[in-house]
Amino acid sequence: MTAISGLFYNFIIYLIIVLIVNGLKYYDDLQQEKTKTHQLEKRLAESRMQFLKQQLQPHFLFNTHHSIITLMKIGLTNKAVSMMEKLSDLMRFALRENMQQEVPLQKELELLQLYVDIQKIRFEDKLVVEYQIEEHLEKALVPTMMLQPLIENAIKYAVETSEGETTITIAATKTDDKLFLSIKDEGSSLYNFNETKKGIGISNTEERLQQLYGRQQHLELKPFKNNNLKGLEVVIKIPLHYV
Amino acid sequence: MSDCTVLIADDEKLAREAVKLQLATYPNVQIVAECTNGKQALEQILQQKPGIIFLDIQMPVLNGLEILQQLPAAYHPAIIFVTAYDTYALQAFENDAIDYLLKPFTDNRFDKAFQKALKICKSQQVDESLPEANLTER
Repeated sequence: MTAISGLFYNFIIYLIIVLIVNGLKYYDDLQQEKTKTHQLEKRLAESRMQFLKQQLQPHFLFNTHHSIITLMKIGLTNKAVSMMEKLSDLMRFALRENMQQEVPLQKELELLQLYVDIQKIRFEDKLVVEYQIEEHLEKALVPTMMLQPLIENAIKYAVETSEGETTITIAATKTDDKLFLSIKDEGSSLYNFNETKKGIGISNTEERLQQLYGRQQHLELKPFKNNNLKGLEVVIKIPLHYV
Repeated sequence: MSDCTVLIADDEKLAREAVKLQLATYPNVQIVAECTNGKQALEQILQQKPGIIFLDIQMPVLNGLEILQQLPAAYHPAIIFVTAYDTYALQAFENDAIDYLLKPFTDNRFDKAFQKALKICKSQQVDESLPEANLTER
């Protein structure tokens, strides 16, 4: 009898321990989940800040203003109006209150197009942008505002330092469960890519991908050279998922 | 006295247009070259020896400051930097720029810079013509 009650007593103790351990583990998981959400929100806020800063960069903003004023003065008012509207749309998007972590690729490309259109008025034939988007990927989700800083990098390092034409190709392809995004600049730029000087744009993107997709993502930098053309390709792999 | 010659170097076409537009109000000014990168600008500057140079700082191949460092010591054009940055202002003046226009600039601000440049350009022409004048007198 005492042996049985001893066993029962031990069982109760065991049960209590299991409950406490599980409770603690659950609490810990909850905390970790909270921290992760916090970090994600922080990362999104940071990339939004970075995006804003890029728009407010004296280089981009004042050169754009200068172009708009010049277009008006030489009588190309329609072009000036269109450039101003695009700048407004871009700023409005960046200043939006409720920003989602992810947007459909189509939406991200629309935002990119605004930025590219403005830069095309400045750089004219020096900047060629091509899209190679595989069918049915319009609704695939991508991190919000991830592509724009990468294009900005390509313009800064490849287009601005190049005498001739630079082609920036934005591509999206998929396998069964992965989405591949690639941003490639190809031209006669004088800039030599240096892995150790990746720059804040790339490292922020890397961190954000890590936070969003953990080990399911990958970012690769591929500098290349063929004949007299050279450039850099940034390839991003993320899990394929839809709206 | 001959016209003052001007060279414009900027990789953006609209930015070059902006300067040309302002220069249209000065009939006695001759634009001798428009350059789209630093290397071309340096070549044209050395060849044409313009009296006034409008120079963008951020240009492909050679930047505006690098160009100034490669000019012969005896040649003193009036240099006006035109740029969206103000980070380089101090460096520009250390390199003997006479003024620094920030994009976008007003008509007044442009005129102020250009008047200064014209003065320098004309005084240089007087300097250059003096030795010849002395020769003819003898």
